[in-house]
Amino acid sequence: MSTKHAWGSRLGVILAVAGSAVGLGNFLRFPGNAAQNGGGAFMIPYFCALLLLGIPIGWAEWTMGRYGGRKGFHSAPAIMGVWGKGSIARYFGGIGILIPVAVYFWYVLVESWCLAYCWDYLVHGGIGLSPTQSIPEQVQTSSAHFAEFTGQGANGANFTHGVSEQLVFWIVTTVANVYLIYRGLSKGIESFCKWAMPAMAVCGLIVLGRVLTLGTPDPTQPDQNVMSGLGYMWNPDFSKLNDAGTWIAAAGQIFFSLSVGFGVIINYASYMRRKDDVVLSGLTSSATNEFFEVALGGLITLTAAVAFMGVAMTTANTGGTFSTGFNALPVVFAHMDGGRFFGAIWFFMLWLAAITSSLSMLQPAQAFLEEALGLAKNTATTLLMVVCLAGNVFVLWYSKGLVALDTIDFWVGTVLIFVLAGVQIVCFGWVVGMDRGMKEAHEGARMKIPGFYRFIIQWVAPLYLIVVFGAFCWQKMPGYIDHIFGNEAKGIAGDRDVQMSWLVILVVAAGIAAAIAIGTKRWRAQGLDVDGTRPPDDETAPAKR
Amino acid sequence: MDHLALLALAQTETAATSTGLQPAGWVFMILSVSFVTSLVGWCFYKVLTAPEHES
Repeated sequence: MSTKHAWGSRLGVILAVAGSAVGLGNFLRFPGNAAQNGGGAFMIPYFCALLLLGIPIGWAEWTMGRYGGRKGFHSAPAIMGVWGKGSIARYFGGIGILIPVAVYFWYVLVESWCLAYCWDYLVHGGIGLSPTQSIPEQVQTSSAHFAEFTGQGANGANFTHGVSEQLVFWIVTTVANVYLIYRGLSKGIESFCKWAMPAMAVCGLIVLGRVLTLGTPDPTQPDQNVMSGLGYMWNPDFSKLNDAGTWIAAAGQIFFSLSVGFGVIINYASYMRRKDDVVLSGLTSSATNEFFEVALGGLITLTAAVAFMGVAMTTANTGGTFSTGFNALPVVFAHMDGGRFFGAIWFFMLWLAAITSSLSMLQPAQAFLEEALGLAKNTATTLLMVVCLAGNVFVLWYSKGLVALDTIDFWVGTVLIFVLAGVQIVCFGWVVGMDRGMKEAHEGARMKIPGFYRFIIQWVAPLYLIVVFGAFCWQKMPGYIDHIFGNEAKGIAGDRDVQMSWLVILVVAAGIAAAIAIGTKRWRAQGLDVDGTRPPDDETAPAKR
Repeated sequence: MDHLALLALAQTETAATSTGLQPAGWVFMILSVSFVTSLVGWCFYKVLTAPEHES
C-alpha cells in the first residue's frame, strides 16, 4: 500500500472533509432556497433529506474510501472497481475524477472573485457604490460592476483590456492552491483546514453578531429591520410542502452541500487506517457543514438583506448564488455601519470557504494521476495544473453571460453528482451487500450506525435519489439540451459556447477513461485486487498501527 | 435585468411575507439552529474526548 500520503490526525481529516463541503452555497444558496420554498417549513423536507440521503450516502462513501485505501487505492475509479467488482463500476468511478477537475475549472474563478471583493473592501472601502444613489440604483451599479469584473459582456473580455483585476486575483488564488497541494495532504490541505475552518467560524460569528444587532437601520423605513429579515427567512408557509419542487429543492440543497457523490470523500477517506473511525467522522463533517449552513447562512444573509433593502428588493436579487453574493450584499455593506470592515470579513470568509473546497477538488485527480499512470508527485502536480489552467482559461475566455461556467456546473457539477452517488449507494448496499458494508463501516467506529439505517441505505436512499433525480431531469434537462443541439420548434439555435463547453467536458472525460485503462493494466501487473475478489491483506495479518 | 419590473413582481409576490418573525417562525428557527448546533457540539465533544489511537 502507498504510504506517501496520510492524515496527521483524526480532527484533520474531519475538518478537511467539512472544508470541502462548506462553500458559497452554504451562505448564499441555502437562504434563498429556503425563503423561496416555504421559509421555516422548508426545514422539514431539508432535514428529511439530510437524515435519509445526505448522512447515509456520506457514511457509505467514507466506508468505501477507507476500504479502498486498505487495498492500496486512493482514487475513485480504483475504489469503485473494488466495490463494484469490475470494470463497469471502475469507469463510473471516473466520474469521481471528472467532477472535481471540471468543477475546479470554474470554481477557482469564483474563489478569486471573493478574494478580489475582500481586497476591494480592505483597500478601496467597497466596490464604489455611491451613498447618494437609491437602493435600486445601487443594486444596478453593483450588478454592472460584477458583470464587468467577470467579463460577462463578451467572450474574451477578460483578456482584451490588458491585465484585468479578475486575472490578477485568479493568478493569486491559483498560486495559493498549487502551493497547498504541492505541500501534500497533511502539511498542505490538513494544516490549512485546521486553521481555516475555525477562522471561518469566527468570521461568520462576527458578521452574525453585527447583523443580529442591526435593529432598524433606517428609522424612515420601520418595516426594514432584523425581525422582518428573520421572518422572511423563517416564517413557515406550509402550503409549499404540497409542491414537489420544494422537496426537490431541499434534497438538492442537502445533496450538493454535503459534497456526497463528488469524488472527494472517497479519496480523503482512503488515507485513513483500518481502525480509524468513519462513522463519527462522517457525521461530524456533515454536522459541521450544517452548522455553517443553517446557523450562520440561515441567520445572516437574508436578515441583513431585508434590514437594508426591504423584502421586495431582497426577493428580486437573492434568487441565485451569484446575485445574492455579488449584487445584493455589497449594497447591504454600503449601508451598514462598519460596512467596510464587515464586508472584508464576509468576503474573506467566503474565500476561505471556497479555497478549502477547491483544494479538495485537486487532491482526487492528483492521487489518480499518481496511481493510474505511476507518476511522481511533482510530475502529477504539474500535469494536473496544466489541465486545470487550460480549463480555467477556457472558462475565463468564454465569459459571456457565464455560459461556460453554467454549462459545466449543470452537466458535471449537478447531473453527474447524482449519477456517482447513485452508483456508490448501489455498490455499497447491493453489490457488496449490507452485511459486509455495515461490518466494514463499524471497524474502529466511535458510534454505531442505528439499525434502521440498513433499510434506509438499501432501499430509501436509492429510491429517494431516483425520484429526485428523475424530477430534476424532468424540470431542468430539456432547456439545457435545447441549447446544445438547438430546437427548431421552439426557435432555439444551438449555442456555440455551450457546445464548446461540452467538447471540453468530453475531452477531459476521454482522458480520464484512457488513464483508467492504463491504470487497470498497471494495477493488475502489480498484483493489486482491482475487482475486489479477495479480502485486504491486513485482514489476514495482524493490523499494524 | 429590468430591476423595476422585477421589483414590481417581487412586491406583489411577497407582500404577505413582509411581517416580523411570527411565533411559528421562532419555533422553526430555534429548533433548526438548536438541532445543528447541538449536533455539531456533541460530535466534536465525542471526537475531541476520544483517544487519538486505539489498539
